[in-house]
Amino acid sequence: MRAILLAILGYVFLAVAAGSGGIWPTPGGQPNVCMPLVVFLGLLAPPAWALPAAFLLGLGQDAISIGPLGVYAFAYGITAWVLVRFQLAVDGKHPLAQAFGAGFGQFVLLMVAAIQSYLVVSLSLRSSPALELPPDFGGAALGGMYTMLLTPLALFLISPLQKLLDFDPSARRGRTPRSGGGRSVGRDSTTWAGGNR
Amino acid sequence: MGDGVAMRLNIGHMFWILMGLAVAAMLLAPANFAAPVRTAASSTLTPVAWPVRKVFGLGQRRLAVNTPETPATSAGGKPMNADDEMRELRIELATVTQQLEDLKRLNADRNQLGQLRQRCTPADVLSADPGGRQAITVRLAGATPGEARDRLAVLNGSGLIGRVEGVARDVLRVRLVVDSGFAVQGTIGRFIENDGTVAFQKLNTPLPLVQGVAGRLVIRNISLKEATDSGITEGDWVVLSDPEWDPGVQGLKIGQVRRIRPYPLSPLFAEIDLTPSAVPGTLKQVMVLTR
Repeated sequence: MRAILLAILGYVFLAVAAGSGGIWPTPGGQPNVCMPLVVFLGLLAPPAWALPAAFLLGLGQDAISIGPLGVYAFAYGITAWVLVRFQLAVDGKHPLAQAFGAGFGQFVLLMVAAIQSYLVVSLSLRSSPALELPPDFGGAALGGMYTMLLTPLALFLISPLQKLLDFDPSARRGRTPRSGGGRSVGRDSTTWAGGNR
Repeated sequence: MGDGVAMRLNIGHMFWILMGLAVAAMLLAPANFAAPVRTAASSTLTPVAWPVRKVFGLGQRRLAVNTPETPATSAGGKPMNADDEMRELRIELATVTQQLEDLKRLNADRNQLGQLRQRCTPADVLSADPGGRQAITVRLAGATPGEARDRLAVLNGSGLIGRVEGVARDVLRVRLVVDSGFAVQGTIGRFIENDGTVAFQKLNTPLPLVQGVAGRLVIRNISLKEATDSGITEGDWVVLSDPEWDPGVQGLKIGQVRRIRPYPLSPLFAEIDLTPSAVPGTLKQVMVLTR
């Protein structure tokens, strides 16, 4: 049930991102429509679900983008992996936490894209390195700000699904000894057995 | 022993293996890796993406007609009075008029292609790249098998739009000329009217390489001296002159000179900014040179 719901959510977010691509009435850049879902997964989902779901969402966005394959998958994976560590420390339902999570995700995405283009050009890893240009930092910064504004709104809209998906970090907080910290929680709940409901 | 390995191979390990594969793909896979699969993936999103695009387009049009002369209707669920209703009707009328104008413009746009129109197949824009790159996904209307191919030229009445890079049945992925890394050779000149006929007068410049840079079109391979000597000015046009492209599209407009200045990273060269002949965000239908 949870997997089906997450697949539908991912499909809808990807489709809205593709449908609205290039026509946002936002000057200078456009928000990343899929980032709110990555933040939702990272801050609220159990790690065993958050990490693969964020990775697959990134892979989906890679598939519908014209850029190099793997950039979104890797960036979303890293973002979810870091946000999962903060699940017990911050209130994932707070709009500020969500906005900062989105800002962090956009920063990771920009860094991954910049490092990728730098490595491909400097190491001449491909036959046509001229195609790999550094990302547009100005547009990315503005896009990041728009994404930070969009994320709390988008997560408010999908908040009713949280109960349906049984995403409740506070319940896990109650079950986990404080002394263990985020690290042990991540390890305990990333096993296959822990992930299956 | 196998069971022991399987037990230890938890989702965390799987995740990091996938992340490693993603890094390998982003560094080593060719730029157009799995283009048909990726185009097919884009087409599977059409049932939601296309209506979303329509709604966004309507929103844009609504914003455009919702000028101070035609303000928004009463909010808060209050019953509308006659004035409000009249205002609402005027907005509706403006929207319908706008749609009619769009259709007229589309027809005029197709007619502008002249002879080339017979070789083109119209295609509806379904979606665009969500990551800020300049690419669109289009569906060919009534395409016959074999018509949709890679590297076809995509244009409209305003000029060159881009090139097909990925085909899945009748769905094509089009990389726009303004996308980063897109490069095409052109000719700089101006249109001069003489005795009722319009002719393109070529300027004496080296062949300019028109490059897309994050939504902009620029020329950076002409020295500042050559640009000054040849008399390039704002308002001049750059048209396609690239042997790699179909002969039928040679001479098609690419962009209009907007600004000439020294290129900041290499001040002996000029950076010529062009206004693209087609604005990517407003594209609803394009023509694909299929024949």
